[in-house]
Amino acid sequence: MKASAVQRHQRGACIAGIASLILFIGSWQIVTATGLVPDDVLPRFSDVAVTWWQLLISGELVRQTASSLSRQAAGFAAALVCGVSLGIVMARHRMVDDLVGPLTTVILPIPKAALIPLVMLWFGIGDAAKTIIVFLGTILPILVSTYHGAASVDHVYIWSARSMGDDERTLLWRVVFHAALPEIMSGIRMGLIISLIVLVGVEMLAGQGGLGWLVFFALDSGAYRVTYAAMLTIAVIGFAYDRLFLMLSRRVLHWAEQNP
Amino acid sequence: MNVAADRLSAALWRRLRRCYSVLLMLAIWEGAARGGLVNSFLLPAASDVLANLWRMVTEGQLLYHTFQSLMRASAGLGLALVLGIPLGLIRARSRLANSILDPILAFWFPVPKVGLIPIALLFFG
Repeated sequence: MKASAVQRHQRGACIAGIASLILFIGSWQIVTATGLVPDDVLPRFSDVAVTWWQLLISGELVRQTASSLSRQAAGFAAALVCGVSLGIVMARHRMVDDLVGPLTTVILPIPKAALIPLVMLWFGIGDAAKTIIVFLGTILPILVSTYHGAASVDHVYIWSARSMGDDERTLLWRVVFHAALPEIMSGIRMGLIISLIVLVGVEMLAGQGGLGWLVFFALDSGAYRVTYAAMLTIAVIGFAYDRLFLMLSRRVLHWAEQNP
Repeated sequence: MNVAADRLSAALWRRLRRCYSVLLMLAIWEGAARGGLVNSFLLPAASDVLANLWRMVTEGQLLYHTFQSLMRASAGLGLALVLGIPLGLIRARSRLANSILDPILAFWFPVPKVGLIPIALLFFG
């Protein structure tokens, strides 16, 4: 059976992706093996790969990854729940918007790197501080997208639902939430990516375990192979999260006209 | 029934509605700090912070650091624009370029760029 155009396109994209990956790894190895770039600045890919494997079987990699991901998951989940619900309530009720909106416009866009010292002053250097910072960083795109999506719901939908007797609660779920869902999902995707960025940043600065901490600890100790191995792990996790979320998004929004 | 006056007060109300929550937050901040509700080491009074801010501005140190940060941010943004806009245009016009660039960008996009700081340090000192 002849593959459809979409399937062919996806297969082509997959092949292109693998080709780029091979090209990337290949050029890395060549550049370092031939001595074009000194070994102390950029270790060979083969060395990094070996170190990565050693980290994996020693359990260290798993430990740090679990540490990082648990903080990220907690902060992201909280931001998801608060961001979506607050965004919808703000879009539907002007009073809430007036109260909360200006505060979020002033506080949330502050680069989280700048908030880290303050949060650490109040909450110490443990998991709580890191989760809070991830939460603050992640909630902004989710809140903004949800608010915008909920506020842009076509009034015709709302009027027709009301005319069919929907009360506010049913209306919220059946009409507003679903109509805003494409934009909400797009905001959640940004939130997911930002949550990883903020997490790694705060771990680098605050220490106490996690992949970000590992990157800088290895850097300070001169173990550059470990640094690169950890960074590659972070990159792969970020890529995997993004791809998985896009797949989820496509399934959830299969009825929508455009996909994020 | 003065329509102009009505419109003016409506505009004022709107302005007030937009900013009252920030002012309220500042008031609560000041009240909590001065009233001793919060440890003054952790949260200095708003008026103290603002006075300190003014002092730093007039003494020049704040402007110097702000300038440094803005320079670096602008340079990065400028470089990103110079590279990004042409690449974006090429991607839109050329199927081939799109299929080459798409996987690279898809991998690059979710990578936490703070993770690249060590590499940059190693490469550029």
